[in-house]
Amino acid sequence: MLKKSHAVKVKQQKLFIGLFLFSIFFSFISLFSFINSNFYPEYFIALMVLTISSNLISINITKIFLLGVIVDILIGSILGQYTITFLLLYGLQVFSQKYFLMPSKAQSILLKFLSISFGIIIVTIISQNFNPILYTNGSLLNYLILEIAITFFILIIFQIFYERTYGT
Amino acid sequence: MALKVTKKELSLFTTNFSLTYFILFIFLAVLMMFMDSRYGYLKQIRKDFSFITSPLIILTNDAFNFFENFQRLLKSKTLLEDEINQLNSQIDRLGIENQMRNFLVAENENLREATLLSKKLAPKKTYPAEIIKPTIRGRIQIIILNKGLKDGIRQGMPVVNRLGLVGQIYSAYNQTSEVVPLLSKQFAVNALQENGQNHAIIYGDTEFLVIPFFPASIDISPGDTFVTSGLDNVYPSGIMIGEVVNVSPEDKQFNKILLKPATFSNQFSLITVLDY
Repeated sequence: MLKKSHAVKVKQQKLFIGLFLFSIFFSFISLFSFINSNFYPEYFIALMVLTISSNLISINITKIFLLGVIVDILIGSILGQYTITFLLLYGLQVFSQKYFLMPSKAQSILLKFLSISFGIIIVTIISQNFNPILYTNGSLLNYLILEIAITFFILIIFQIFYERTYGT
Repeated sequence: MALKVTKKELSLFTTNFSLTYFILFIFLAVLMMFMDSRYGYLKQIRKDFSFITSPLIILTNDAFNFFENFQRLLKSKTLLEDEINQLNSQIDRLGIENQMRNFLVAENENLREATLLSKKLAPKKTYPAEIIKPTIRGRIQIIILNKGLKDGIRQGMPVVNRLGLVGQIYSAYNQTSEVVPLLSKQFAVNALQENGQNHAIIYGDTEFLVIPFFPASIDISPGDTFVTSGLDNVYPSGIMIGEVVNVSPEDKQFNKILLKPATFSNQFSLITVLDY
């Protein structure tokens, strides 16, 4: 793995803080209320998938746990909802790195997509268990598909910002 | 030569990853969920951290609302511009009407002089005021105004708005004053049918104005209007009081007439006090 220069590291730390604030900001705003009043894309899952898969900041399991608790306090339906999701996403990433060394670009994108889907499904299952929402305008499956698609789109935007930190 | 592979490299997770910690943190997360679902800690934590989260929520919503409000502001600006244009044309129209009125007043005074009738008095001064709130004190309906003795308001002054008579100043204080509205049971006014033929005393009766005894021999029907007569020397003549809505026989000689006031105190906030 290529070593990041100090300047790139600083840039990426700043980007992480910026994206974290962005995620807080947009998580409180119903930007997609025209689709469904309960529709909130999972900005934090997109951010965590990017952080874990691209090493946006140096991360370890304790940091993941603490970030999860913070996100739970901010937007979680129940304490531990995002914590367990982030931990499982981290586990999935480490597991895939073990078995898919040096993945191609296509594999990497597929892995990110799967991570997003996995994260959203876990969050939704926990959320539906503790704070069930009735989807009157469509099935839960439709909602999940839409949520995964939009969250993945947000991840792509985050990824673009991430790649720009290398100055390419 | 065969490569030596350590036990650690053969394990499932390698890079800076401790399976024990992973399982421990997963267990902690599950425990947190269990405790929260049982004891509702998140609510308490959010309450404790509200000094951080509330400003965040307010800030984000304010930022989002800013755009909506800005749009609304632009819209209101257009509406206000339209209203200003309408008001300007209304000012022109009223200016023309006022010129005609001045001519009629002068003509009326000349005629009164020629026929030796007493002078018809116009209000000396008018005081615009704002209603603070209509209220009920005891059983008396009261409107409180934001003008008082220091502004020149005195007890007994008539109160009007553009639609008609509102009431009379009941008591004046230094900063505020109280108005007895038309519909108050304490209210009475000498009135003249708008055709100028019939006089009556109109009383307030909570929901309607009432003329309890109006001669049955005089034709009157719903839709007829009454204005102040000016005979009581309290109200200037010609101010709209109300419109007849019901005529019911009280006995063989008299009818009871119900009138709807020209103006209700909950329909406006600006009034004019007349120094008459």
